[in-house]
Amino acid sequence: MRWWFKARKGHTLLPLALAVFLGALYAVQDTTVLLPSIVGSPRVALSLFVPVPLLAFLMAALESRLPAAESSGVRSLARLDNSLITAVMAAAVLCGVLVAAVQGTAAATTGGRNALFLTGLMLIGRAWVGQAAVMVPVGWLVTIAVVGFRGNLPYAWTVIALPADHVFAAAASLIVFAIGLVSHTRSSRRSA
Amino acid sequence: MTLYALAYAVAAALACWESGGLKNARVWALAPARSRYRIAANVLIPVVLLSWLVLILPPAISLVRSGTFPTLDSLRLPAAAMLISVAHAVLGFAVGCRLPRVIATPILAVTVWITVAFTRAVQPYWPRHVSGQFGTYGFGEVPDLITVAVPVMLAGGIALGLMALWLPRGWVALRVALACTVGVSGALGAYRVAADWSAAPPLSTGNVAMVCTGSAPRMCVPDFNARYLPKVQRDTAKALTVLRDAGATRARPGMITDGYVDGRFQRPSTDEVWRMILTRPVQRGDAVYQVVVKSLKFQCKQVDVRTARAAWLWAAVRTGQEGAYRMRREQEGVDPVARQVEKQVRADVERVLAQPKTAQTRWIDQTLRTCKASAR
Repeated sequence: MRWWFKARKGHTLLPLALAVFLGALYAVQDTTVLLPSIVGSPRVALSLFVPVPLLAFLMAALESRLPAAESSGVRSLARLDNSLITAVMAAAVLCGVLVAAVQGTAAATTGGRNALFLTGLMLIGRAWVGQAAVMVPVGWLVTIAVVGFRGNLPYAWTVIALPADHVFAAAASLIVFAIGLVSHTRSSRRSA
Repeated sequence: MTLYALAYAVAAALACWESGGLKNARVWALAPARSRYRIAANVLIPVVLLSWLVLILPPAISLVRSGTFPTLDSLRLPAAAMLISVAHAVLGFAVGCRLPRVIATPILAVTVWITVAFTRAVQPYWPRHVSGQFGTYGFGEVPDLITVAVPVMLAGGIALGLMALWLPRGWVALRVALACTVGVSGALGAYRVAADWSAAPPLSTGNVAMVCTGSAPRMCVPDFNARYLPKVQRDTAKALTVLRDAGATRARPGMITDGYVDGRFQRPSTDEVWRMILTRPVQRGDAVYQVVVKSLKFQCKQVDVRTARAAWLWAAVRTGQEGAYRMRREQEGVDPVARQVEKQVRADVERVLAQPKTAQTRWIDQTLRTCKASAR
């Protein structure tokens, strides 16, 4: 198991990923940006984009593998990978709660929730396109910036643009993440 | 919606991805049979073409739908944006050579997209002028060449600097020095040029072919409105004569021209030259009425609605523009209050029009001077 962790570069990439996530989440606070959009110019919270580096590092960790040893081994690496993903996501949610507690606003908790949702999307995409799926969350972000707002209010399907206390967004994130894990279990043996 | 930022992000991200692919395939470790620039160019061509598509397709569809042929001036912005996307592709390629592509690509895409797009909304004005996220230009406005050159200077300078790093011969220190010189001078040059600009970069207005006709007043409109012009000019001259004879105005404009083509730098009218927004009114048929309204000068600070409209309606009826007056009122919206006011105005004006001409002259003169309709 230690070798598996080393092969995934978990000891270097993951602490870096979480540090970047935590730092960025703390730094952006409630900053919003004006982005070009089809309907008006919604003020998009900068915290929407904070999970992107975390996902990139996570994908890099999952893609860092020893194909020969992994496809001939008897241990279920999918299960180990899934627990790795889940642990990283738990840490991300914890980071969100931590930053929210320090700043005294609930806004930062959306960081953890959004990381969960976008990771789910990325893992679903990974079943089809392999490591290029790291761009699926970016595509989702572009889509919601362009068509996801009615005036300044996000549509419900955007999920990640919804406020922190939105029950549907939390449930949708969990469900998408779960689907992502399942599809990842089915596809992770294939070396991409 | 302007897609400049998205096009640059597409160029940078895909170039980074492709460059990472070359690195993973160990292409750079092979013995060189072709120039490295050529290898890089081969993978960058589809990337650049895609980002050009992002830039060009939406305006192309618009132009085709409206059956318009683009002018040479209108190609300045897309041409500059295309050069800037090439520069962003080079930048992304350089990043992909150094960093693992899985990590670098999404971060680069989001960073370029947000940084470039958000320059539109930050306070010192120079970032928006150097970022390549061009603003919106109005009818008749053309950005100066320096305006489109500045973002090309920034992105292009950095890109040329990076390309200098890959020169196949020369000492490394020399190449680094050359790269730094080119990159820093491009960036600093762009900053120094744009540092003093206000929200509007240097641009020229009034770049519209105008047609003029008649005299006293000579009238000018953009050439696509030329077919309305003879009748409008005739009616305007007649209306002004009627109003002068009736003692409502002493205005004798030598020229009435369409100020819409002046875009964001509107010039004030003078007694001799009137600049009015006429493009839509000419098509809609209330241009003469607008001239009539402008020729009536109330001589006090505030005029109540009933008095103002009474004067306008009287002038409109006398000059045969009653239809335009009614159209204008309908555009403003017909609510119960407006209907009530309109009924009063109509009654006032009918009473005035029933009087002899000299009494009407006295009435309009008094109305314009005291801003109180005495016929109530």
